[in-house]
Amino acid sequence: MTQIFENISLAISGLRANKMRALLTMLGIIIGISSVIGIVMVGDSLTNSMTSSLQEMGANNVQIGLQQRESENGQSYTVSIDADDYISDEMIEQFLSDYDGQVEAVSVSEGMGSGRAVDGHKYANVSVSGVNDGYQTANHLKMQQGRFIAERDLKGVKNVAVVSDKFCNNMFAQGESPLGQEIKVNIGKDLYTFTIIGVYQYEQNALMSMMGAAASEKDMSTDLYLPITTSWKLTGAVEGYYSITALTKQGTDARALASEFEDYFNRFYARNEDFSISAISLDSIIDQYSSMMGTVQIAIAVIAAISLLVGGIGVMNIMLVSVTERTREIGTRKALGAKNSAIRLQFIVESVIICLIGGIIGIALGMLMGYSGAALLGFPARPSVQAIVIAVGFSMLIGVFFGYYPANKAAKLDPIEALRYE
Amino acid sequence: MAKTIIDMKGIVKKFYIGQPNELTILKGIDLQVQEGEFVSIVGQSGSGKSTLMNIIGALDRPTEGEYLLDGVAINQAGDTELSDIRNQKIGFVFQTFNLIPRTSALKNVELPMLYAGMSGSKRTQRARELLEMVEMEERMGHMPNELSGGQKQRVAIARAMANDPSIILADEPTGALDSNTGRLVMDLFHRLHEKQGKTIVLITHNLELAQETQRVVTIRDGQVVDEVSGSGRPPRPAQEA
Repeated sequence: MTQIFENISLAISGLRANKMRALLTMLGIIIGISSVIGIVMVGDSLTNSMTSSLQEMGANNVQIGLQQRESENGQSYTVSIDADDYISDEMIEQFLSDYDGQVEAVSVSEGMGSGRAVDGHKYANVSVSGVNDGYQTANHLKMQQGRFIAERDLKGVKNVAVVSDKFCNNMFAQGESPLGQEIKVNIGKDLYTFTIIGVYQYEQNALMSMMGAAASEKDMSTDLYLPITTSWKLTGAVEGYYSITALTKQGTDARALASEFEDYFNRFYARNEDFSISAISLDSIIDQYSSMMGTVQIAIAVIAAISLLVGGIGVMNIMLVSVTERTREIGTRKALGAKNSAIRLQFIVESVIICLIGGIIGIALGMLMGYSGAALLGFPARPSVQAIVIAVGFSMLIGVFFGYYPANKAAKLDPIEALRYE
Repeated sequence: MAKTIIDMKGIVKKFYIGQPNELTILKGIDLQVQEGEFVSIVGQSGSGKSTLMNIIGALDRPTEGEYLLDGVAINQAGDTELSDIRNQKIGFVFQTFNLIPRTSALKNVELPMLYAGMSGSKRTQRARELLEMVEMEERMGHMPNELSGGQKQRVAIARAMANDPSIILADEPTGALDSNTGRLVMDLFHRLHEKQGKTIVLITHNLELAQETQRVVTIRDGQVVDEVSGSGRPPRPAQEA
């Protein structure tokens, strides 16, 4: 035990005497460890924010959509969608009554594109979508004023709109009630007029912000919702849905229900030659995403392992040089009564100290990288304790593994030869 | 009667055994050294002097013959046992000092005690005493590269004494020193011999130095050719008397 402490202080004083060499030796370890820590940190924060934003969007959501059937000869060709291929309102109604206990609401939406509401010199950018009454529930929209699109708006094909609070800030003066106001919206070349019936609270979505929507309050684009029937009328689109979202009730297993829904809807498509239905829960999308991130992390771990291997070989190289340089010292120690095991221990301790210091520098650097990387992406990051513990353990292991051969070489030196070494 | 510390009978050392270039360096050496003796071994280079020293110092084993060091048979000892024997029974003093670099004088003296497994505080205590004995207490925190040749050799002698060995084995201890400092080092050996009754084996090619010891053993061509009494310590300066 005393020998270990003596060896540690000896190794540190040896490293101090050769600072540059020690640093260069550690470089491989530093790069390996810091890249693992940094990338794992960024990856973790990315996964966490992705997962939380997906969950925000609703882990209970099941996406039900059309899927082109594979042709019999395996060749894929594009088939145009006919009106009767779409999911119809009748199907949804039947579905809702059959799954009354499990399904909270069905949400549909159809994008009409981006546009701009203009009133004199005031303007607000919008992204216009036709939606149904279930959309609010499925997307957890919080109403600030008025109401959301209701069944009567859909049935009556009303020219009404629900806008965000940000939209109102841009378009209306403070204290002016937006409800009942008429707005003019340019979409492409067309100008439409809608009456505002409700205002929802805009929430910045982490996923959206990552995709670079960092516009100013004034220029930011928020969603504007119309009854989907109105959007059909305005664009002349076919009345039907390519994809719908079913919001399952709390406490149900969305993943299990997804496959049930798939079977249910596929009964409507039993005779359809071109299309079938595929249903997928957001839960399983999160799973897919997590497993994808897992794969990425494994790939990173492999790359890091290679760089640590290279670093370890560097350490071994320097240790061999050190043993040769200190042949006489080793001979002297042996003459003074050092056993082979004591010499071996001395050099292994030295190698472990090099790797450990390299590992610690690497962790510090990696955390710096992780924090700045996460800051750049706009997500909070926290260092993974697990990764740090593994990094420290692994760098020590490298020290022992790559230090053993040089240390053993030193231990086996013939004391007479070693003492005579010039 | 004094105890026999070194007892060698018919020591033969061969190299490249069984190969065409087989070499016999030591051809049957008989040598006895009594406890408290100051013996010198002299010989030309190539005489087998160094090989004999390696065997005396338990750095090497003889090919044939019997060697008892303070009653312990060296012939049969394994590497680990030889390490222990060197640690406990032999104090080496080298021509080139061989202090461990970047390690203070004090730590250098502690080293044999560290390998003996002695506790830290005891080690430091003893190392201080030894450095005081060689009048190096002022420099115990210094690194070897901050010491002069004579100072280094005095630290090395203190280190050789660390585990109170049966013999001090000095290989040309004044070879790298000028005559004045060499003189001081030789005086230190005499003092250890006279005051502490240490058994000292001095290996040298300097006949003048050898003459100062009690017995001069001459090696030539791997054999002891001459054994005479030395003339003893030369007259010392008044202040040392």
